[in-house]
Amino acid sequence: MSRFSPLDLAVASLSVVLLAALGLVLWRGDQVGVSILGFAPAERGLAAASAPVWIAFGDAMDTQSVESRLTIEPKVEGKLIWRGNVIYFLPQQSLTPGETYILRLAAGAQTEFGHLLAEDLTWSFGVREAGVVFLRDTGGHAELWALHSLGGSPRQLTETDGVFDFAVSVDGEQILYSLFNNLSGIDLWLVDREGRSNRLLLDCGADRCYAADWSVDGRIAYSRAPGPLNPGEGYGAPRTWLLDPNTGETVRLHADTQKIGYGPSWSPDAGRLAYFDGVQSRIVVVDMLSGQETHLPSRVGVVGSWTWDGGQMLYYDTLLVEGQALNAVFRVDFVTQDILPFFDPQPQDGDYSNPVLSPDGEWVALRVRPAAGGVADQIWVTPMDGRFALTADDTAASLFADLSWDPGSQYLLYHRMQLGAADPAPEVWIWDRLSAQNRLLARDASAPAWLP
Amino acid sequence: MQRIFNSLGLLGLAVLLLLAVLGLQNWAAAGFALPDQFFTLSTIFLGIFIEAAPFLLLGTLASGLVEVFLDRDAIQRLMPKNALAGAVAGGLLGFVFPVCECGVIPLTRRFFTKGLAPATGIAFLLASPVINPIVVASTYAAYGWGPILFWRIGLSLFIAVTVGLVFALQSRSAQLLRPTPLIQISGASVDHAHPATAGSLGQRLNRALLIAGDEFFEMGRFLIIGSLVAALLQTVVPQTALLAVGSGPLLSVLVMMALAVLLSICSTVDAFVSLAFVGTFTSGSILSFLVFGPMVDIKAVMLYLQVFRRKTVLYMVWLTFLLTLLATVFINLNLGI
Repeated sequence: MSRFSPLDLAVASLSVVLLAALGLVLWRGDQVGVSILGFAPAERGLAAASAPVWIAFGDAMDTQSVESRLTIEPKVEGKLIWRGNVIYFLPQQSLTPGETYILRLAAGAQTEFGHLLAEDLTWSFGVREAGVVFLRDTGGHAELWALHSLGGSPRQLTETDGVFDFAVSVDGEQILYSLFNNLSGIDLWLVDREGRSNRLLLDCGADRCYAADWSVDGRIAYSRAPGPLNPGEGYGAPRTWLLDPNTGETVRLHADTQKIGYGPSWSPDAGRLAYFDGVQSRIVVVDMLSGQETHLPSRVGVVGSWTWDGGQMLYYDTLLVEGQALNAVFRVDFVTQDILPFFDPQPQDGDYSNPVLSPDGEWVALRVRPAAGGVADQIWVTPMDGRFALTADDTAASLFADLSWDPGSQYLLYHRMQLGAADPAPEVWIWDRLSAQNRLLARDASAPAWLP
Repeated sequence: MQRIFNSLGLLGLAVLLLLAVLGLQNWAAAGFALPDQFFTLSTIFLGIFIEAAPFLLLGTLASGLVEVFLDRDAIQRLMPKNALAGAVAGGLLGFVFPVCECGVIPLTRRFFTKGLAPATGIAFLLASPVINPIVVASTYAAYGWGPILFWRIGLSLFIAVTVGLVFALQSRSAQLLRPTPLIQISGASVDHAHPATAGSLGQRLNRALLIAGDEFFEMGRFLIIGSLVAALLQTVVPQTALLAVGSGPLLSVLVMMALAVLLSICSTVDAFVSLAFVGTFTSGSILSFLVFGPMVDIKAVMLYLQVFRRKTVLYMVWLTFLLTLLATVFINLNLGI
């Protein structure tokens, strides 16, 4: 008689079969692979020179395995950041228009759970020249117009009752604009770069939604002033809100409703968001990962200009020098928390404001009003170390606004208004840093911005 | 007589343990210094015990009702004769007797004493902690109608039926149980002339309650000891140490199975606990936690050992472990749900 019962033998046999099956499953290894939900720029598409390169994964990834396998040809220096399961490559220098780039994520990248990318993911895209978008008085109200290349002719993008302001997405594909509604509130609308797919994105009712800014990962920050509680009363103080353009979901930046702020600006890596707190007279910079805030004293009502990696900001504040109010530029380092004067020593011969950093981090454009120059401005351009200055525009008796650099850091775009002229029409100009030439782009135009 | 003394001794020990934990907490509240680990241990212990005790009570109550209202003939008549059909029926019996892993043990023992086939009984024992309306509803509440819910139900039924079928090779249920005289199983009747199912409704209900009470105290002491062992292990081996081991397709499954055994959470709430691991652990390992935990954990094993022969428990635990491991590693490497 056997020492083992049928149950013993069945358990032993089944154990052997199960262990063998387990061995086989492990030997075959991962059959699932890595789920890639999407990537940008599109395959064989035409992308903005400043366009973020991204890959969206279906699962949490082993970040090291992805970063070490992601390459771009021709080689471009930049920074890799993660937002959830999406990796972004932020070029330190803009991509070159006309060039074709090849992106490759080599096989072997894996999820946190060990699923492997079995084959290389490779795609290519071209780069287009940047255009310009601006507001132009059209039949008595402002409409969006675009120049799709600097040599082209402007094209009207919207037909509305008057655009209040606008913001271009980082990839240059969409333009968010604000529009008064019949409750005297301001809604947010969306239109693509060709003027198509025009749609209401956010109905703000009696509230006023405006001064929006796009982050590199596609979120929108905007200012929202609550509508009057009773007819005839004024609007409430604006707060900063966040909006997901894909879902239309919108939330306050701060749960604390007492935190006032407007004019939000994302850092290029979307790691920080700055806005102006008019009650406390300061720029508030929020670290979006930790929630930690940095406060920069300023009375001028606007935030500053970011370095490409979001680690520093140039901003300005009003100082009292010998009884006279003068603007001066400062540089803040968010890592060391140091705040230093941009010019050292601080010049006393004029008013320096609106610093705008070029995307390559080499140049700073400033609005300068010499002490003896009355109310007229000049535009100066200086290297980051401030050792010399080029005059970009010193047209007499002029005011300048809305300075911005093109993605390639060659052209400075600005709005010019001549004071005292018979026909003081606003104009949009560019200054070419290489040739030092100025060129008029559009008359009766204001609030210019690049359309990358 | 010796067995009765042993039983009383164990009950006394268990009650003493419970009183010691509660008493020491009061002692500490009065200002006496105790190590932090003691508070961790007592909190975990009381958490497990208080969570499980009502379900054990429910199971013993069901066991008492089965004893007085269901005779052997009815079970023979209602249950399929075929082993596979019997195992599947056993796997689905939880919809009729919704008990969790503590309550199912006395009830299964009761069924076995009533002549339930081994395949049916083992499948019921393993499946019913998951395949019952309460646990299905709680899993739905945690995960919604989706793969985790469907896989939890499907895998639990498959594993329970498979293990049940293996035990079908044992012709008599009594061979699975510890060699305890039937009369010692609270209320069990061997007197065929005066069966437990005889008498008026009131008498039968009274008898069912007495049986339930006896059985609750009989099994309760092992629940106390099992809960204490689980609490002790959780105190000595913190969750973080287990979770740090790894999250690969195989390791994550082993870690989550170990965690399920260690935590000894009732199956009615384990879905909510497992939500904390979603995103950091593989779907297969989450499933292993939800499938293996209700079948095998420290307190349940303590109760198994009180009812079943050691070999039965060993085979049940081993086969359940292997089947869960294979299925969930396969899911990790091939399905990626």
